[in-house]
Amino acid sequence: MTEYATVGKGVPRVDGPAKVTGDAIYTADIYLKGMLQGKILRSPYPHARILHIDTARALKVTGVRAVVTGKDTSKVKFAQSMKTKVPDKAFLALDKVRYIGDEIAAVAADDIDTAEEALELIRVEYEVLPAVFDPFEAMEPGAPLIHEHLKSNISWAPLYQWGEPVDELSDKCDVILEDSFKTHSQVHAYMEPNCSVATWDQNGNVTVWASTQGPYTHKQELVTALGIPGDKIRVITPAVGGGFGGKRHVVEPSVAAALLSKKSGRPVKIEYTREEEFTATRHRHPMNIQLRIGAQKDGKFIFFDAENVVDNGAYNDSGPSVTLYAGHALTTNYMVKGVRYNAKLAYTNTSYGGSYRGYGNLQMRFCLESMVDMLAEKISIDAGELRLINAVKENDTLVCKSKVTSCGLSECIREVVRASNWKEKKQHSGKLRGVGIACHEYICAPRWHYPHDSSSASVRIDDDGAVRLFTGAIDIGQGSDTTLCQIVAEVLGIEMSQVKIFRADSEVAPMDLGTYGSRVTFIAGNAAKIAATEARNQLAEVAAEALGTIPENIEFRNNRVQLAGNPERGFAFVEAVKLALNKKGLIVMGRGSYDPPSDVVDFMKGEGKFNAAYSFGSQVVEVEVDADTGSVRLLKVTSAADCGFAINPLSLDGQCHGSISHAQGMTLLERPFVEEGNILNPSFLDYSIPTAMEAPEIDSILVETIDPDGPFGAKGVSEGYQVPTAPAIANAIYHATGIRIKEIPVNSEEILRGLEKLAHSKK
Amino acid sequence: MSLPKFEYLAPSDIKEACSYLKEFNGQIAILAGGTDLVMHLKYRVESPTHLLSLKNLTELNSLHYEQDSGLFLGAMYSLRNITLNSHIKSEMAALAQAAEEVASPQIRNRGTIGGNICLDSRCWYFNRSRQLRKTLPPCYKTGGDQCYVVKGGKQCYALLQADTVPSLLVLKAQLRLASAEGGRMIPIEQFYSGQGEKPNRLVSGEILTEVKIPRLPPRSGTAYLKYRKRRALDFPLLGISFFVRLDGEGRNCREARFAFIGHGSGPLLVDASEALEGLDEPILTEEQTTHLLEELKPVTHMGISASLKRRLARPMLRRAFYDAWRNAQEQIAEYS
Repeated sequence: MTEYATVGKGVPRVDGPAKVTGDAIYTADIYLKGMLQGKILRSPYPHARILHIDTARALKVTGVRAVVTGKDTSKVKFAQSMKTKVPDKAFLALDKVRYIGDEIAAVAADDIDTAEEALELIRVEYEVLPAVFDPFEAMEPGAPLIHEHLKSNISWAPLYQWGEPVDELSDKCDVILEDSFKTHSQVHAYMEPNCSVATWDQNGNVTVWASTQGPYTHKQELVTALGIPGDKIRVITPAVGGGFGGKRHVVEPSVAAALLSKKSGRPVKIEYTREEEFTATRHRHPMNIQLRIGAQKDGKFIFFDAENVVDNGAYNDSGPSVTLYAGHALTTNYMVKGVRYNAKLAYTNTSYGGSYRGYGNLQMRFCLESMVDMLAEKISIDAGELRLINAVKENDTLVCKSKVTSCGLSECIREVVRASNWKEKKQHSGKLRGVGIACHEYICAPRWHYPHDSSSASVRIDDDGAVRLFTGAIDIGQGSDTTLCQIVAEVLGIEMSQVKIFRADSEVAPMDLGTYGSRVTFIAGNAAKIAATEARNQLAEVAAEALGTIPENIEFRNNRVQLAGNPERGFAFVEAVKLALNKKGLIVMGRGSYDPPSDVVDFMKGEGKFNAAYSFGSQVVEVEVDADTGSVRLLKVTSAADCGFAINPLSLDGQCHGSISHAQGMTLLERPFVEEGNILNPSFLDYSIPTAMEAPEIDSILVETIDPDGPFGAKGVSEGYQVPTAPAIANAIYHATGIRIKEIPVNSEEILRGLEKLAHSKK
Repeated sequence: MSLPKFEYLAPSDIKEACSYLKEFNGQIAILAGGTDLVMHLKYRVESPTHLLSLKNLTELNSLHYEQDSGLFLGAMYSLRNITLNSHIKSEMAALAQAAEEVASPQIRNRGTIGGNICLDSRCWYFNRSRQLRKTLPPCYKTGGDQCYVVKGGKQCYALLQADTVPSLLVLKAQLRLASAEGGRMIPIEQFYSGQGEKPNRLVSGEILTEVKIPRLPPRSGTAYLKYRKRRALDFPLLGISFFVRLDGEGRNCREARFAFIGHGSGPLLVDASEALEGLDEPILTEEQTTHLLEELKPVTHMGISASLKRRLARPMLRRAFYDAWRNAQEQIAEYS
């Protein structure tokens, strides 16, 4: 394997010191002269028609500078850009409100108290409409219609057939199992609430500072909402305190702040409260999945046949693509002859789903990986072995007609089985202790929303010796700033400390679609690598000329530009830069743009290679079930992940730990309690995310497969880590107790009832 | 979320504090750590015109022990200091355990024993912002005439979730309440109303200044157990303290009582002496457990069903009894 100086090393985070000392500037830290505070008025009803809005009394309050309503927007509705979408969401309500929390109006005032006071004085005349909260009830004829442009509450009902027709495959099966599973909602629970600061100057130029995962897409959404051209809008993203998908499309605070700034002539800040984060942003789509799985008695999978009812909530947002991706997950992990996926995406009067780490894949794998375990028991094959029999391999062509460029799934399974002492633990489970295994595949860089999936970067090298990287990629906490700096340092043979990164300012940074779909390392990493290589080539030419050789003979290492094989002949890196400037007048600048080798997704067929690569992994978990309380404790997780190549193993460990904690919360603790569309526990006290006290021991193993297209062979890996934990925990609970978990989060009362039932049946 | 406007008062003697209470009767809230009150204020669950901080009443941040009468704990004594006090840890294990289980280290540093005793009840329907509360008509707690927890309920069913209360109940603590008129001393079991709307019987103008815990009889032990979803931060979804006194030989049960918290709007204290006297091992039968739990009437609340609480109560009762018994035996071993 190639020896590298910087990539492949657990380099500390470039943004670490600023974040731990408090120096990092987040959007909420921005204060501009004359800045006002904004607040959004939200619907108290799950479903109502707005008859009239009277803002006169609110405007009379001393200190209130502006009030805006839907009339002040472009009146265009939006949805995440995707072919199947129907734009259904107004930036501020136009005619109706469809969930408790829906945006109606916004106020800017000298301080928050005044803004809150004014909100209460806005008189909204509602016609309260009957509401529906359950996706199955919503699909019944006669259910209250949530969107008038449709005939029913079904937003989308695709039927996908991949490979051979499932009905013709039944004869080939020795065993067919069928069961139903249910997943609940989950909130992202990032530390930094959404925040926007906007100024609308007298020339009509709008500048927005926003905590977003995609400044570029944020800008596109602002173009739609404000009805002004993109060249008038600048989006800047300061440090972001986490997103997990949740900050991809929350654009409402930016829209409201911009409109309020336009009216008041002053900068406006809108910072969400934690309660607004729970009630009025996006969350994970609840799914109701029924799965049939057909197999031979030797363990070979023959078909998967799934039906899925997805609770969309009030609006589409990412609903259609999350729905598709849940089904797509049936095609990517295991070789199977045919897959059928019949889904219904139903509107309800609840807060709506959106982009969320795991993106449908996670919900489906909870179901699939649970059933793989049930099948293993049925046909008496070890659960790890059964997965190995069916695991996808490098160069396989999947039933969805996508080719797998690199795959370490089998190695991941073997690794977790070995490292967790699986075989012994499976034999000797202690009292109410159990082990469970599950696997995942995850997309890396999906080409879903735009015809292109590009990212770009430029590298400028100045005579102060610093290398300045400009990238469109946005680090929301995942560590991409560090990874990209490592890539540039590696290409140029310099120290990490010499690379400075500038990003996420739409006027300065080159284009990038944002942080999602485990795409940043793969795409922005390649773009940065190309840009650094171009800069390097320019320097190599100058150095070669000075040394009387050809550029191919120049090497970049140890902070030097030198003759390969004769390192004394050459220059310190900074001297080479000065040489270029002083002798040639050349300011060294490289540029790179990268669009991965993938196809535009065909949403109707769901076929083709619409991911640049696939990452894979497997986890073995150990749990302990308390027979007195029904509580489940996650003791240990052994994880193995195929990351292609680990540019920063330390950062990957961090991703692994964070994802497992996130998945642990979803499986064992986190549940928004919703009563008629009203979220009852919208706080970190009453909505239980795991604390350090719940953290399990984690063994994180990296499997490298060197993807042919990834930068240095790297693939996106982070999101996948979150996927297998839930089914692995469910499988371990079954091993410990004999209780099959079919709904998450796990309900301890169900466990106690199950234990009583089992004890009873043994008597 | 911002705080409402209020005037902040921080008197340095109790008399002055009591006079403020009298003067701003009904419009004043007592700040004794603030870990719960500040959230209430932000949510506008209450909007007093004045806030009376007890932090300058240094005599309330005290602990002393009198050989004959027992332990005197100032109301402003922090929960963290309780967890560190060797006397409490060794003689009143249940109190030290309960204090240790409150929330998080930061909250235990700020939170006080007086604040925990006077903790307001909690409920998902009112512990949220005013804007969100507007999604439903007001409940009993917020000036309305209905309860959303028990539909059709005739009172507020908000939960009392004060960790230290069951321990203080089984320890027979007494509370000193000061007022402009002088004050009174009452047993803690008379302090709670069982009403979610106002869970304690502190009358307006009164301040809890001191907790007196009588000396424990020899050969007795206590224990506190708490059920919650996470091993930090959470309030008790169910908590139990048990007190057991053994006979001269340390073999048989002579006296027993236990108290629950978190099941409803007030604590439940049960005298189990009659049922358990003479028992020669810390093991309860199914029948005894059922009998002892007859009075426990949990409410489905905050995502935990009444039936789950009833299930949890059984092993918790047995385990707390066992732990208290072991604690009594440790006391015997230590002092003999």
